[in-house]
Amino acid sequence: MKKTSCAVKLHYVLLVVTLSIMISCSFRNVFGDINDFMNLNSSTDCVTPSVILENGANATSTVYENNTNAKISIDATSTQSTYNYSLDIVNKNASLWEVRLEYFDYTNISRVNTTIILHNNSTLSEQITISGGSINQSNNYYDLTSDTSIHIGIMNLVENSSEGTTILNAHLRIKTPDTTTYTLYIITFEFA
Amino acid sequence: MKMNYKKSLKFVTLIITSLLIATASAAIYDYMYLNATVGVQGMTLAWILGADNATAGTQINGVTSTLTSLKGPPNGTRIYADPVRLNNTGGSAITFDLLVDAVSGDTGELESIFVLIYSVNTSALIQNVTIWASGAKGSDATGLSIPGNNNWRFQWEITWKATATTANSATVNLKIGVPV
Repeated sequence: MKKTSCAVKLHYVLLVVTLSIMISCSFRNVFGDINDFMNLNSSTDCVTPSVILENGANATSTVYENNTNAKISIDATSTQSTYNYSLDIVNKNASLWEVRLEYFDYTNISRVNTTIILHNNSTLSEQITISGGSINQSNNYYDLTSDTSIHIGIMNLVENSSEGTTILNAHLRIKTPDTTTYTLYIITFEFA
Repeated sequence: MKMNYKKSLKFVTLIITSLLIATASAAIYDYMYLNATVGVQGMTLAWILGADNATAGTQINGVTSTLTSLKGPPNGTRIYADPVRLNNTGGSAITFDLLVDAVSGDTGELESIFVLIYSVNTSALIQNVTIWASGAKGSDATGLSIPGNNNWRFQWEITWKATATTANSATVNLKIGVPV
C-alpha cells in the first residue's frame, strides 16, 4: 500500500516536471522569434543631370565625365589676378534651383588669398574666402533660374608663398527650392 | 524498498513521449506564427510623410512606405533629407532592427546608397546605415531605440557611378523588425 502511494506521488511529480518542460519549450520557441514588420521600399533611377558644369571663358577648368564634377586649376602669383569665368554652371531645363559652394577638405591654405564667388554678370554672391591661412564660407544660396548659366569667379587671387600647391575641395550644392532635397557635385580648386 | 521496474519504465516512456510532444508542438506553433499575416495590433510605430515627400514620391500604405521617385545623376550624389519619418506614437521607447532585406536592379552601376537616420526632436544622428557600397549589400542595424513620442527621419543618399545611364535603376527593400 505504501509502495503504491510513493509510486503515485512520483508519477505526479514526473508529470508536472514534464509538463513544465513542455510549456517552457513551447513558449521559448513561439515567442522568441516573433517580430512585427514594417517595410520601407524605394526605387531609384539614374537621370540626365538637370544642371551641368562647363569650362568657362577663362579656360581654367577640367570638366569630368557627365559634366557633374570639375577641377579648376590656376597658377597663383604674387600679383593679384581675377578670373570671372573659371567655371560655368548651366541649368538645362525650366526648373529653378538654389546653389551654393561648401568646402569639405583643403591643404596648404595659407599659401594664397582669394575670394570665390557665384555671379551672373549682374549680381554676385561671395561663397568662400581664403585669407591669412583661414577659410570661411557664407552658406548663402544663389538662384540659378531656368535655362540660364551662372559663373564661378576667382577674385583677387594672390600667393603668399611660392612653395607647394593649394588644394580646396568643395561641393556644389544644388537644391530644390523649399525642400531639403539636393544634389552634390565635387569641384576641386587647385592653386599652384 | 523494492524497485518497481515496470512502473519506472512507464514513467520514462511518459517523459520521452512528453518531450517529443513538446518539441513537435513548439515547432508547429513557430511555423504557424511566422507564416501568419503580420498585423499592427498594439504597434505604436507608424510611417508619416517627411518634408521631402513630394520630391521623393513617398507613399504610405499601412505598415509599408514606398519612395517612388528617387532619382540621381551619374557621378553626383542626390540627397533626400526628409522623405519619410518613423513616428513612435506611444509613450514608451521601442527597440527595433533595421534590416537590409534586398538591393536589386542595376547594382553594377550603383556606387552607393546610404540611409542616415536622424532624430527630428533632437537633430542628432542616430545611425548611418550602408545599404549598398563597394559592390555589396550593407549590414543590418540592430537594437535601435526610438523614444516615445519621437520622430526619426530617414535621409537617403544615392550615388550612381560615372558610367551609369538613364537606363539604369535599382530597388531597395528595407524592413523594420520590432520584437514582440
